This record gives sequence, structure tokens and C-alpha cells, in this order.
Amino acid sequence: MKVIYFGKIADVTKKTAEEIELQDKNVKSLITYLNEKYAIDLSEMQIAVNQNLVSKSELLALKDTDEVAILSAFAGG
Amino acid sequence: MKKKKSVFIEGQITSSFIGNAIAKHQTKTQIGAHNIFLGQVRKDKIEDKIVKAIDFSCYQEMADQKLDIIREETFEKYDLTCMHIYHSLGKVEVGEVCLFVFVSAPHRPQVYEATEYIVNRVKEEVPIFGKEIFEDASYQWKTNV
Repeated sequence: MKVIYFGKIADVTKKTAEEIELQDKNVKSLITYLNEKYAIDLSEMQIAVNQNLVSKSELLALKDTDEVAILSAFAGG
Repeated sequence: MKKKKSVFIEGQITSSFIGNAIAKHQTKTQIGAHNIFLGQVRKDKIEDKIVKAIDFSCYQEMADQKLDIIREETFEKYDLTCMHIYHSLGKVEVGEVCLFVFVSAPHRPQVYEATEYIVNRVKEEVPIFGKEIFEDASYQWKTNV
């Protein structure tokens, strides 16, 4: 699935998007993957699936067609 | 009222842009009160470093969607004639304006509350990211608290 990165997350991963293949396609295993590959701490990221923030603790299933975005803290205003 | 509006402006929001926005409302004669909030980039001192500018970026699709919801829910909650939200993208130097919220209504009480409501929601819900660039060219990522 395609995962897109914003803010500090894009800075840490040094890319704005990538294809990730997960064994278990869910939010929790994506977090584990990102933590192992980039050492991004859970507290530093927010996850949006199809433009809606989702809980990081849930086993929400992800589809290949979902737009999955990893966001750092908001700083508008 | 529900038409798509563009919120994001490259660079600072100039005082002439703000002045023009006010002037455009002179034809809307049912309005009796305007309220404006301007967010300005502050010369913060973080430890020994001084902020020189903020470089803003956003997740556009999600930001547009969230802003539509905020706009819609603000109109439902308050009796407003119109509202406008503008936010900068890219580099904005200290002292320059990066957020412009402009609310208009027939009467005054509504506009104060609505402005506060909009600004709070923009800060909390819209995926905008800001890199605080220091005078020595190092940077850190800003977090709304």
C-alpha cells in the first residue's frame, strides 16, 4: 500500500511517500514497521486513513486502496 | 455559501490582501459587525536560539476537507453572513502574518465567539505543519500546545 508522510515524519523518513507491504494489513502493524525502520516514536505520529485520523491502538484493517498518511504534530495558526 | 474556497496562500498574508478583503464587504450591507484574527510569526527564543521564520506545509486534501467541515459547522452554530479563512504555506518571516480569519454578521456578539471557535479548530484539526527556522539556519518542528 502507498503511505504518505508529512511534516517532521517526512523529514525523518527522508521521503514523502513509499510503497509498504505488510503481512498483516492493519494500523498496528504499520506502526510497528515504521518504528523498526525509522525509529519514529508512537507519540510523535498521527495516522490518517482516507483523510480521517484513526486511533493508533486499534487493529483497523488497511486496504491497498486506502490513502494512509503519517502526520507529525499540527502547527497551524 | 458552501462553495469551495481556497485557503492557502504562498508566503505571508499582506496587509493589502487583508485591506482588500475588508473592502470587498462594503457591498454586503446586511453586515453590521466584522471581526478579524491575525496570527503573526513570533520571534520566539528557544533555549539560545531565535526564530527567524516558519516554513509551513500541509496535507492539502485532508486540510481542505477539515476546513470545509469547520466552515460548515461554524455556519450552523453562529448566525454569520460570511467567513473567510486564509493560511500561509511556505516561508513566513517573523513579524509577518500567517493566519487570517475574517467573520462577518449582522450583529456583534456572534462574531467574537465564532472567531475564537474557528481559530481553535484550525489549530487543532487542520493538518498544517511548521518548521521553525532559527537565525543560525538550524530548525525544529513546531507543535501546537
